[in-house]
Amino acid sequence: MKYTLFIWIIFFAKPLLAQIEAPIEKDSINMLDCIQAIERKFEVQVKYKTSWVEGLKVSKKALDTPTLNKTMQAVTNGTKLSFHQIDNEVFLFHNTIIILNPAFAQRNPTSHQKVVDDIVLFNRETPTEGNTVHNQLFKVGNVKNYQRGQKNTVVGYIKEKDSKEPVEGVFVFIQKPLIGTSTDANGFYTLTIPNGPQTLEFQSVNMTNTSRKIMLYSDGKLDVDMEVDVIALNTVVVRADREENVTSTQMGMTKIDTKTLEVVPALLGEKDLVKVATTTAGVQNIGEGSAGLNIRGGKADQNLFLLDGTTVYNTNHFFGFFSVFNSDALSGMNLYKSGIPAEFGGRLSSVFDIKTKDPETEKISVNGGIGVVTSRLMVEGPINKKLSFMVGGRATYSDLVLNLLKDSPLKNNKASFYDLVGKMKYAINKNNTLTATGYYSKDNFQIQSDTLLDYSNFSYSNALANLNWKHTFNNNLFADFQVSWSDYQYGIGYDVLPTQAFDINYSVNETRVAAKFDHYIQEKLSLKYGVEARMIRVNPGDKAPLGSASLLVPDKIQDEKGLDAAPYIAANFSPSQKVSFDLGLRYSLFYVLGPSEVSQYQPGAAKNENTFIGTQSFGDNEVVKTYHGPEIRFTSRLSVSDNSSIKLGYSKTRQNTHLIMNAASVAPTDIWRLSSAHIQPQVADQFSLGWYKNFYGAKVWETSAELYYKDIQNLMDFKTGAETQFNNRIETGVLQGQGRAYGLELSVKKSSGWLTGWFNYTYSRSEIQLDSEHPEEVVNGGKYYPTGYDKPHFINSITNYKFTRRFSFTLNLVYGTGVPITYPEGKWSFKSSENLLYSDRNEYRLPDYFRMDIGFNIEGSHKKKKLAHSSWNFSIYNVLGRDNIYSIFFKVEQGQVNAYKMSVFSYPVPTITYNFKF
Amino acid sequence: MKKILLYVLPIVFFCGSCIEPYDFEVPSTTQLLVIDASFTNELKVQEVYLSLSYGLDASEPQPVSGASVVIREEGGRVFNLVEIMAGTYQTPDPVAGTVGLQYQLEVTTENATYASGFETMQAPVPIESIYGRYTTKASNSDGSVANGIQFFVDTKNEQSAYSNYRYAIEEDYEVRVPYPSLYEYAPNDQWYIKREESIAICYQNRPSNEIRVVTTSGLSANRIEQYALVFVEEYNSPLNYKYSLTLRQFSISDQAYQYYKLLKQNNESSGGFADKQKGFIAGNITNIEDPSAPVLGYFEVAGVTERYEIYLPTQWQADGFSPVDPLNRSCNYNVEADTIPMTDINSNPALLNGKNIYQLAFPFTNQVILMPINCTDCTIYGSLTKPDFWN
Repeated sequence: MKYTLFIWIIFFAKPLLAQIEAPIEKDSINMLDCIQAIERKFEVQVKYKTSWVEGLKVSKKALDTPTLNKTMQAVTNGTKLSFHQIDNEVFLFHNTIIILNPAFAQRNPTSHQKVVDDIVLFNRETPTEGNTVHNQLFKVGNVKNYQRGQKNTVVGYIKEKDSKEPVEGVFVFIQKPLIGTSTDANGFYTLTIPNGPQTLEFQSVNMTNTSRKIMLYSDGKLDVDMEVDVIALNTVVVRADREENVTSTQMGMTKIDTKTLEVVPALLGEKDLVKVATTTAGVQNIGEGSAGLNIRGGKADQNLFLLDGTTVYNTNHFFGFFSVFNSDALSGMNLYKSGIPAEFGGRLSSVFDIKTKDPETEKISVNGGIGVVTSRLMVEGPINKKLSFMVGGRATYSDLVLNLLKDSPLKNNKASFYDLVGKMKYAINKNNTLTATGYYSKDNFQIQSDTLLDYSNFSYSNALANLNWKHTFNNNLFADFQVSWSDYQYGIGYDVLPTQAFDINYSVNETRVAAKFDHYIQEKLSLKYGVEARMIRVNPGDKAPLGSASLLVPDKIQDEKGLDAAPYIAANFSPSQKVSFDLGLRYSLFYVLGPSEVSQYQPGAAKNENTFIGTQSFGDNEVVKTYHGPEIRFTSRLSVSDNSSIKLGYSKTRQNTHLIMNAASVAPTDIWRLSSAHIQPQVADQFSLGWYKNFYGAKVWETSAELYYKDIQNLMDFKTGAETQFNNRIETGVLQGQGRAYGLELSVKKSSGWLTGWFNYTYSRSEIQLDSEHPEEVVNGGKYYPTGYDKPHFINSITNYKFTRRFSFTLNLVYGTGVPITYPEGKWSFKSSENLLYSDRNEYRLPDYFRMDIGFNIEGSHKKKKLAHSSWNFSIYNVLGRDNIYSIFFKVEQGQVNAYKMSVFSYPVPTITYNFKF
Repeated sequence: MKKILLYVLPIVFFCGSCIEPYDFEVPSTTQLLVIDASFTNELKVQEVYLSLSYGLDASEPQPVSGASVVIREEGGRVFNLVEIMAGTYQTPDPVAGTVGLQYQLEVTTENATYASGFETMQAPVPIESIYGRYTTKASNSDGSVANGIQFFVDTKNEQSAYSNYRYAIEEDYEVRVPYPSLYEYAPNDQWYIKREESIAICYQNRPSNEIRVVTTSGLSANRIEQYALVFVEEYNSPLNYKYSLTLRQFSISDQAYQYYKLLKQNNESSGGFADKQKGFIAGNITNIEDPSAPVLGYFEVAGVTERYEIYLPTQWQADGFSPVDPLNRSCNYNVEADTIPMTDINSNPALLNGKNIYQLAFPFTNQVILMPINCTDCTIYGSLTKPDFWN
């Protein structure tokens, strides 16, 4: 019944061909008048439907021809009309040809080759009433220009039915032979296919898939309205751009849209784009609750998270259990693992380009969810014709839970987070759009601390603001101007010893401006160019006494300031259908700016407190050091066949902001520091080779294999026990060395049908070498050793089965090799204490990780007119209750060495979430 | 930080016990030389211990014998240490270091020569006070709470801007068995005899095996207040009778403080993200032929002050402290006491295994009452000799 709601507007509009556009001569007359003249002149009766001829004009000269036949030909020429004369009656037909000798009558019994002719015989318009659009036959082109066996082009616009917004990325294709294309940003598509009867299929991410039976006579136009899949049907939606993996030059990219979120069972009911990324190939995380993703053997700080272009410095709530992005407010995310476009830069491994959704412009709508840990609410809608808004928020109620615990040391503890997001869109006119996005998140913890080195109070916040002006100069040149601001801060309190109680505040702040241009030079060549500049300021620590008893002298690590500027240009060149190149160049310039007191060390000696000889002063904005270098980004595609291609890529990336993380996983207390006189930029070269093949048929299977090798200079690690938290001479604890990562990603995906899902296997290695002439700077004898996030084998898969349109089931599987750890190999006795003697760094591994999650989604009624749409989501995280070990650690207790394991969810975690939208 | 993971996650995520003991396979053991050396300003026989690191499942370090150990003082004095027992090397006579002078240690084993850097002797700082307070404290791992006495130290030094200290703690306390054995069995006579010396009260000495360091660097005053020493739990308390705490305060260098701090971090983990990278911690001693060859240990040169305090449990009675003697709980007379005739013992002396004759079963002098050793003999807990400073 849902289909009856479709409204289809079909244009048999002005065909493309120039002849139809012929200029109307001065002496033209109305077709109606002309027909009357013909009736008088040849004494015939012309029969027609007035609507067919209204508005048509013909040349007077047509009447000058001697015979009726010639006159009729002249009159109907260039129109969709055709005529047939029976005695003194002339019948006009609209886009129909009358065949006097039907094909089957002519058919040679020995030959079946003329089947094509059947077309014309059945060229009859099916009644629209009471029939679905799918069964309806749409005529495309001018029947009179129909030449059997030729190829013709269908063009058209695809729009969203209600909003009339163009739909980008709709995959338009025919099955046999398989020919397909995607709509552009304007929803426009063009597809050249054999004429005659065809079934055009339309598949899109957010739209309900549909198809049209067409009769293609000649080049023509077919506009289609698609309906938004309003209520979350729990399908793995076919990627609109699914053929992109084969046809685009881009490699190592994953698109995750909010639809995908519906599929993956959510931990504690929190749908999370970033967590979903970990179900795709080559994206790993260390374990439950560990923040930070490791992409292709890259360190967790080598990922650039952008929210509408603004850098997000901490992407985690609750130490990593949730990402800071409220999925309701997002439209989707592009994750680049290799072939990072030249417009992005600053981090080595990947870019998470996350976009907030455009506010709805039709009516105010509200949606939200009630879950175990958080609840969320979002409102969006138009303010007036040009202005629309979106506001959303999320908050926990864990404080409530903690407060309910009586007589427990946890009674006074607090743990909570919330986030807010807002967006305004001002569509000034066709060529100018202004959007402003704001974001704020906060995490708060308060715990009773009782032992040395423990922190009692802890909070952090992210604030982002972004202003964006999109301007269209002309059809070939588009510009995007951005100003953005990002601020991350945290505070930590320590109050065990009253005389030494303190708190430390930390912040990183980035102001960014960017101008980006898209320039279409010609069909085969397009350019993207622009410039991006960031001013980054870091306060690496500000220590102040806490409480009146504290004797602590306020202390501060000197601020860091850096200017990162990068002009870029990238060209896409497609010399033929088979070959395409993307060549980009980004030039990274990084200025370490004063004011600064730069520590000096004895030349040639290891940097430590003993070799420190003094400082050198630099004034405000004085350049302390400049780091620069080109970043080449190259990808190429060679189509081997219609549905398979080989791609080759090389990219260089440079990174000047480093997360000082002294553990394998990211902690919110880790500090971003800039490249400085002593900290060198990290530089990576990545080579990748990929093979992509789609198997089309009743169901589509996408497969891909990508090989990569990455070489990293100045990869960071730390001396054993280095102080990373509050250290004025961080370089004395940091070690930088050569890193390398290599691997293979295999992926299979089925995106249509009742059973959908994907399966990825990744083999990846990540290693580092720290060698030096100074023993204190050597780790593991100067040999390559695995990094703390090296996980050679990794499998992740999602399987979704839809029992009915309203009920679906999802299975999520994750397997990974355990991460490396450093084990004690012995002990030694010193000052009556027992001490641990550790193995080489990362010499051993944790047991392998395996987890299975299941999810059920039950949709409310699919009636579109219902006031509110709702759905229930049940999920069980770690349904097998497998005890996956997060870490193994050792303690010396009363002279005994004891080993402990820590697991975060060693039993099934059920969750129920209620979602609504009205 | 670790508390966050330990407490918040369990509650918010309904996780009962995230941390459990783990059985791990003991990896192969590397044996490295350990040099445990210190030189103080006290006039005493100064000692250096040499041993090898040993396996996690082994219990005793293996001493290193036959090494030559020399301590050199700035200005020319040289102390050659002699091995008095395997792995223990001593100065032949009591010697004292001088505050402000530099010292170097050199150890030559049959394989290599090791030398420390020059270490300056820091001035000793008097201990201001040691005191205990009755408090409630969360137990370290499971979140349960315990009552007990927390001991603290206060110290101040007006002579320098800041100080680094290492504390060594020894506890001495009285142990009283509830049913002291009055008789012992004389197998030759096949009879019991009255004990000559009472084994009712012993004195246990418990040195702390934890490394404790603290610094006043970064503070506006060179003062330490309420630095936590030991916590004595009310339940299973050693503080049932007389108790003393002896504190040795070593004034150490910045470098030594850093070393101990790292060592401590290396021995402690919480499993959470606050854990630091584990590995080898280099001290101030290097192999002079091959600086990259690892050697464990440190040559500590320190000025020392010592101070003790003697306590009785009644001191905190008003605050609510009521210690429970574990022996009173475990030695239930009605459960443990066993009256048997001497003839049974004579025919089967194994009846005395793990037991002592507590009393005679008056009026039957040919029958004795047996009680387990842990309820009758204090010497299994400590020595009969009173600490010399307890008078």
